Amino acid sequence: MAYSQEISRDRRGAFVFLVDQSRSMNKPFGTDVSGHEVSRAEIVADALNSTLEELVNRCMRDEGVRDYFDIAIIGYGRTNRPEFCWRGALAGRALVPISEVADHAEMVEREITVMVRGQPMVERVVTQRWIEPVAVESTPMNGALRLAQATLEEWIYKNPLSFPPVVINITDGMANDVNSEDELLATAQRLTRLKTGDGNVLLINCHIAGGDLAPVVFPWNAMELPPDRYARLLFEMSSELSDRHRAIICEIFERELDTTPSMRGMAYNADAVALVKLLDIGTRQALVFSPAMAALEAADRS
Amino acid sequence: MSAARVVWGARGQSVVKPHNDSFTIGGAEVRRETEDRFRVDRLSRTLLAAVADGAGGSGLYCGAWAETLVTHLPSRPISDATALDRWMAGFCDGFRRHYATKAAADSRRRAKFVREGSCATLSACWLAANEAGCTLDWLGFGDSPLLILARDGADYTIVDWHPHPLAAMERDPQLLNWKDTPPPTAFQSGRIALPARSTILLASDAVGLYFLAAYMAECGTADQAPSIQAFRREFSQLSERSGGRLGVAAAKRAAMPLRGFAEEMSILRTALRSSESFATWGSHRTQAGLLANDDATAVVIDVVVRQAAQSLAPEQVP
Repeated sequence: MAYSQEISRDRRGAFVFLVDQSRSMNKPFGTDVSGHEVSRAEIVADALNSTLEELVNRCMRDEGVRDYFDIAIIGYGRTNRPEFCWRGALAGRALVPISEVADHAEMVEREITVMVRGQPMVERVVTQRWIEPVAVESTPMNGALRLAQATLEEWIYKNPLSFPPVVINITDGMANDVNSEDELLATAQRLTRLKTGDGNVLLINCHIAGGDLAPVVFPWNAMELPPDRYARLLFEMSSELSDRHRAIICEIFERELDTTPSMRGMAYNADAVALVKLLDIGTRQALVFSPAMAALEAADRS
Repeated sequence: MSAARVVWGARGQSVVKPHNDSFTIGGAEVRRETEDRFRVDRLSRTLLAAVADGAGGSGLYCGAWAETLVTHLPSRPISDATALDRWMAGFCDGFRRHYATKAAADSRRRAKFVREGSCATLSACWLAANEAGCTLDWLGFGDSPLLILARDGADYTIVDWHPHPLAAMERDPQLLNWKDTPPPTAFQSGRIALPARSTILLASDAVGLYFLAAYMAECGTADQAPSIQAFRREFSQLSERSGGRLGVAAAKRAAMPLRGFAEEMSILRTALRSSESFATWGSHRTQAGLLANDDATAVVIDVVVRQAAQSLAPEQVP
């Protein structure tokens, strides 16, 4: 399991974002640039829209947006059943090629100041949005994980050699559609047992709280977490990350690679900064050599 | 004193990456072009050579930006970061205006262009023949390798190189962008009196890694200057890291019985005779897992310096 397949149009990647839309997401989570209090749902929607825009930008070339990824967003909590969150022309779709995601963004024009060779320059540009903040009902996280599994089973059947799909789950609480923690863990494990030829599905869990407690981000050992059963459960549910992810995370968080033998894709008690970092790191992909081997000597002679 | 006689030969090619080089818009196939650019230009008693690697994932119009960089290179060396910045000031605004207009029809493209700019690496060298022999001035910004090698028959010894340190090959590269004043710390340059026989290789990152790994696979340890020994040590350390680009390149190299460095250089010289043969060269190596699926560019310059009183064996300069 190399987690080394280069992402290309023929070997596209997949991201599935699971977004908690339960009532508690209405709780305040931080402040915006003008100092106004904003809710968890608002910050999660902004962070996710920015992440999608960044993914679109990474796929945008001079010729257009290239289909390097398929994207799905599953919301859970608007009703008591999880559902895909695309709106407008994409409503009802599951995994959507990123060129179509790009084509169906809601454009919001705004003024920004960019620095051009040290001089500030005011420009009007568009920013893109796909989802709005929602905070209504309960937390059917188990159902969301199952929906992700069903969606990715089909995707993997069609893309057996691709870099494995990455599922990023953003939540502020425990699932309330299960009878036990073990049931939720079993569902997560069924999801992460899915695999392509390049590795198992990666499940990254981000628990947001935004309180006074320090966030724990990408722990390598459960001992790093507070003595909290839910924290341990999320640790168990979260995938061990690839060496490439581990190297990136060690560089960003200034950790010693040699003394960090493994790393789980999770954040606990994440604040807005930790959420953005987790989304950034979770959506970075491998870009390494193709593993194909051929008879080089014969080829050069021919 | 009689002037030295300097003979040089140079070849370069740039080709688009072998896989996924086309896609469809509205049913029509659009072939992606390479975003690398190179230049080999004889200017009086100077030979100017350069490689710029447009970073398509960062910004827009990166191929055009790489083209602008190599086209605008002056006939005299750029020797420090201040001179680099002054040189860029001469064309950045014109580039920005031209391509902002071009992007204006698509608001998303324009937003990306305004926010991110256009990015490319740049490695360049100026060879100047003089009374004593041949001097080479070079600059490097980013991770497009430049190797300066002394040549003695089939033996090659590295004399100088870019980037310093090699760890720069493992990180996101420093890129020249019309939006930014280039950070002085990212600028590298040097001046060297070339040995009697030498070879200079400028390449985009994937090709450069291939030749670095090939060189290190057989590079001897004896009688080397401290700087070369440091180069070897750093390469070895980076090669042992799991998942790093140098490590992957070295491991792929070690896993296959391959030719020596001199033979690899000879094959490259032949491949550089045409765009088609260079594309075939790159495609074979990509299929073999030895070369990343990336745009590939290489410029090879062979130099022979003959002193008037010296009788060197004749050597063909390609």
